[in-house]
Amino acid sequence: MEGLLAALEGSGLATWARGARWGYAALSGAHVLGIALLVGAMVPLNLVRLGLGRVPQEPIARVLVPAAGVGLALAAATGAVLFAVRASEYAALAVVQAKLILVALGTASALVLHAAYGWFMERAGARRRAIHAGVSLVLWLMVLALGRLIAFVG
Amino acid sequence: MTMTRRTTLATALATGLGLVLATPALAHHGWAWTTGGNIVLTGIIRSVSLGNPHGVLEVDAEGELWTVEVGQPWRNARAGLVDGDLAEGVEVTIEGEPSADPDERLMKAERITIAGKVYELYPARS
Ligand code: HEM
Repeated sequence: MEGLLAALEGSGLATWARGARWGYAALSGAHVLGIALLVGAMVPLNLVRLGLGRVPQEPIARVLVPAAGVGLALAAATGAVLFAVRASEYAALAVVQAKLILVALGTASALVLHAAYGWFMERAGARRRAIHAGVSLVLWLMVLALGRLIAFVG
Repeated sequence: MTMTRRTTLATALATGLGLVLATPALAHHGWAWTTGGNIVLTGIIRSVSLGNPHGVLEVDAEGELWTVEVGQPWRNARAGLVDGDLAEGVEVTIEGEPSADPDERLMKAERITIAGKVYELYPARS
C-alpha cells in the first residue's frame, strides 16, 4: 500500500501537478466542473423521482443521466490526479477514506441499477425509483461535503 | 476569513513591536504570540515537502516539532524564495497563524525570515 502511494506520488503526472501553477488551478477547476455536473444533475433528477413537480420522469432522465455520468467520470479522473499529488497524506485522512468508499459505493450501485433497470431506470417501478433516488441524493451530497472538508482537516 | 484578515492587519501594524516583545520569550519556548494573535516561531527545518496544494515544513523549535504550512510553488516564488532556501538544516523564523489549539503545533506561515531576509507570502495583507 505504501509502495503504491509512493509510486503514485512519484509518477510524472503527479510531479507535474505538484509544481504547476495554472495547471493545478485548471485541474481543480475541472474537478469542480465534474462535481457541478454530477451533483447538479443528481439533485433535480432525484427530487423529480421523489415526486417533485409531478413531471414526466423519462425525458428529464434522458438529459440528466448522461450529464451525471460525464460529471462523475470527470470528477473521478481529475480527482485521481489531485489525489496522486499527495497520495500518502490524503490516504491517511479519514475524510478522504470515507469519501472514496462512498464514491465507490455510489458508482458501483449506479452501474448495477442501470444494468438491471435500464439507463433511465425505465424498467423499474415508481416505488423502487423513488427509494434509489433518496439514497442517491443523500450519498452524492455526502460525497460533496466530504470533498469540501478535505481542505479543512488536512 | 474576515476575522483572519483583521487579525493579520492588526498583526502587520504591530509586527515591529510584536517581534521585539516576542524575542525574550523565544529564548525559552521557541515560539511566542505576537500582539496580533499570530505567533513567531524560530527553529531548524527538519523536513521539507513543497508543492500543491501547499508546501509543508517540519521545524524543530527548541525540541518541539512544528508543522508549518507554507505557500504553493507560485506563492513561495513570488515572495522571492528560490529552490534551496527552504531546506533541511536551515534556521528559519516564521510568523503566521497557529491552529486554534497551540498544542497541535501546527501553523500557517505568512512571513518567513531566513538569515535576516524577510519573505512575505501575503504581501497584499501587510
Ligand atoms: C475517484 C473520485 C475522486 C477522487 C480520487 C477525489 C479526490 C479529491 C482530492 C484529492 C481533492 C483535493 C482536496 C484538497 O486538498 O483540498 C478533492 C477535492 C474535492 N472533491 Fe473530490 N475526488 C473524487 C470525486 C469527487 C466527487 C464525485 C465529488 C462530489 C460529488 C467530489 C467533491 C469534491 C469537492 C467538493 C472538493 C473540494 C474542491 C475544492 O475545494 O476546490 N470529489 N477531491
